[in-house]
Amino acid sequence: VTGPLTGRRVLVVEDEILVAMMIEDLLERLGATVAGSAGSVEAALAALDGPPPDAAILDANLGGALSGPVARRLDALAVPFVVATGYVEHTLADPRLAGAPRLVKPFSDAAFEAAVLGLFASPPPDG
Amino acid sequence: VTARAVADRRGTLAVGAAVALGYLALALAGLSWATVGGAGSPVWPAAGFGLAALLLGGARLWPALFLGRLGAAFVSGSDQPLWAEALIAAGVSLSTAGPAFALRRWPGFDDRLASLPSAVALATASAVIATVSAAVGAATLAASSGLDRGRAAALGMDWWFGDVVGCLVVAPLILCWRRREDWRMGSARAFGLTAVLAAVGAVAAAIFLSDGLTYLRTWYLYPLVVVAALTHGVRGVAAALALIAAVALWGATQGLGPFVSVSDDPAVRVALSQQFVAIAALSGVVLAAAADERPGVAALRASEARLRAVLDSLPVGVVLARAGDGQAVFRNARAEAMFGRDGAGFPPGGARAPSGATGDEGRPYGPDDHPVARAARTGETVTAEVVRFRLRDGGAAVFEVCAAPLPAAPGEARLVVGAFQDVTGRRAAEAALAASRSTLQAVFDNAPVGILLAQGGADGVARGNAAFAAIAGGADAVALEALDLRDAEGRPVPAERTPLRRALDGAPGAELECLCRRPDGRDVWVRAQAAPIRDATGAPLAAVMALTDIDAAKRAGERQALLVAELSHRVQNALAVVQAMARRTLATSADLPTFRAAFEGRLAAFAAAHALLLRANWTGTTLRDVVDAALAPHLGGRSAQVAGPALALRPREGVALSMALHELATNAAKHGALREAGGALSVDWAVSAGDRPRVALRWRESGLSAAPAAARRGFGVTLIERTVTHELGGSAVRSDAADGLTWTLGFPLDRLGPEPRDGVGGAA
Repeated sequence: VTGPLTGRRVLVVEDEILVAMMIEDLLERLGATVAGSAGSVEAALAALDGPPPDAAILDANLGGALSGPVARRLDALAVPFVVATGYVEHTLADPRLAGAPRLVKPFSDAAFEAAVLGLFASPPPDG
Repeated sequence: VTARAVADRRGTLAVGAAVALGYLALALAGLSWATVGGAGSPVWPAAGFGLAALLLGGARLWPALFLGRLGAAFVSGSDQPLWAEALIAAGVSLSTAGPAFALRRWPGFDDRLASLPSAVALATASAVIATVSAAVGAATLAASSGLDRGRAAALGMDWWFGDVVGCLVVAPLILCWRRREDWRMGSARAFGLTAVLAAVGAVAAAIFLSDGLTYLRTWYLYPLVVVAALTHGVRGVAAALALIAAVALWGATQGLGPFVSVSDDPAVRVALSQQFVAIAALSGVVLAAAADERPGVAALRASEARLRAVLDSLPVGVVLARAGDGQAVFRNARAEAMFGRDGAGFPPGGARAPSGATGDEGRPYGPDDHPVARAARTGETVTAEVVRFRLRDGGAAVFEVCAAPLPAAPGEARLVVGAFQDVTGRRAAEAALAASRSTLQAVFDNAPVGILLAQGGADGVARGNAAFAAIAGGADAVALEALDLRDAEGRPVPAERTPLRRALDGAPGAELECLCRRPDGRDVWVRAQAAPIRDATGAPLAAVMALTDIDAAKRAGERQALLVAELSHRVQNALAVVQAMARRTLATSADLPTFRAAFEGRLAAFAAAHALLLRANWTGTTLRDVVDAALAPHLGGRSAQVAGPALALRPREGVALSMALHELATNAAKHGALREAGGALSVDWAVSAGDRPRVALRWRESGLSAAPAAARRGFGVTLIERTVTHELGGSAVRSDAADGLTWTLGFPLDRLGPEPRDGVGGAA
């Protein structure tokens, strides 16, 4: 499949397997390659030991733990990411997660596309 | 000091010289009437001058009189020997020095002669001076001139009257007219004096300067002397007498006046006129002194009236009582109002305590130990002793009583003074204040709200009640700085922003919600509300702060917000899962009925898994419950063999495993053991030993009529595999046999097990 993200490798960090599979579908429909799919902080960090992806979709809450460590590893690797979360208004306790672009679950295809394409339109925010 | 002593001495010498010259001049005038050569004159104004000089300048000036008298003898060409003149001068000067010394020492002597005792004293002094001086002079002249006894006695008598007249006429004249203010008087008084003196002069001239009068009419002068004394006092009398003496002497020497009829001898006539003047002077001066005394009495009365008015205006009852019998001799208006005029009040007649009088503690006074009686009896001074007793009108009263003995005047009864201040109202106010204070104290002590009272000033120590100590976790007295208030992030609240400090600075209604860090390090949420306490002028004097423990409410609120956020998160997450479930099911369904069956099955499994968790209050579930719930919709009257050790699952893993088992059961119901008549299903699991124990769950379908179709990589299979790998961190392996298939789901146990607070608390 070809699309706007052809050739881009995107890491999916999501603990709900059904949601993870849906995100993978959406990414593939945009032409991107799923660089990996992790359901926990440890699995995500392990996935980032390999070649860094071009971008990441990061669930804020991984089985009860905040995904802040993953966000910081992504920052260290200069990988832009969007935070997908069910938290609508409540401020995320981790300031890095709170400050990142947010994709509120459940989301429409259009919202997802805009968020992911946004990652490649602008350079990743510092710090 | 030395220079001043020298100046004093020079001044004394100058005064002495002036006195000596004055005496000399008057002595020369007197000597012109001398009966014996150089001495023995019946006219001697110098005696009065000398007395006045020593009364005013001091007895130590007596040598001036001595020298003046001696000098007069020489100037007049006395034929007496020096020793006689020296003796006479010594007699004159020392006879004057003695009485002058005595009168100056006596405090009762008024040198303006404005009192009867002073006038009598002057007359007595005159008599002493005249007696001593005349005795010494007569004896001396008798010795020096060889006079016989009768002649010496007559000379002594002349001398005596000369001195007395000199003293009684000249001394008052000098003493009463010596000051500038003695000459100051209103024009009416000046006119009156002039008129009196003119009348005196005219009558005196008519009497003493007339010729051929055959009988004495000197008494015509007395009414005028009396008028002068009563209208112008000693000053008027002294002036009138000087006038009379001068006219009488002149007439006597000129052979005129009433005494001509008595004797041809001018000396006898002079002596007679002197006797008349002496008696007139004595009468006049004494009368004038008594007259002058009257204004003094009036002034004393006025002063006493003023004092009484002052005492009557006092709000304190003042009583003077005799120390001996306690009888009241004076009450001011306030005392009369309080105790009555009849002495039946306090102190009563007889210096006894009134019935019912008690001390402050209610102890009744004995008859002789109430404050005024004690001051009378023992001479002690009592200060502000509290006495309770009944007033005349029956009301109870509280007094502060002061009592003290008064210094006794000579010859008068000893007195004590008692002062009674009615403090009934003040006492009542104090009691009310104390009651209100203890009420306030009770509120302060028992209020369930922490209260802190602080005085102004940076180093003020604030006093807190028990509730305050309980909230702030410290003692009930704390330094203002010791109260450690912090904001939500734990930063100290600046001192000037604390409500108590703002209230001390006068800000009304200062309020702050903040953390209070207790000495044990624990932070509690408090609401601090402070208000200033102002003095009468409105200036902030102190401040009161209420401290409410809102920690529980605040933390409950925080927890509530957290729970709402968590619930919202879960709902959103569940919706995302349902959304994904719908999309994937739709993508893998040939038609809508297929979609509907598959989607409803998955949704039901998802709901059942959540129902399990809900039943366990979202604390987790067990593997057995998950297996039973997954199988139940698909058994359709069949049974499955389920076996394995009890194993608790965390909520998320419980849901994931439910979804995987649902897919297995769906497949079994559609194609496998739960569809065919001979099919059998068994689910069992085991836990391996070791550091990282793993669960091995085996799903085994057997007794099928044919080997199962090769696994189609449908959504269901993918879901099973990925759920186990993704969410359980394990693996799902399928192995086929001739009459069935076996799924082995292996996953580590450390991802399982009870963890009650999934999500909440850990996530924010």
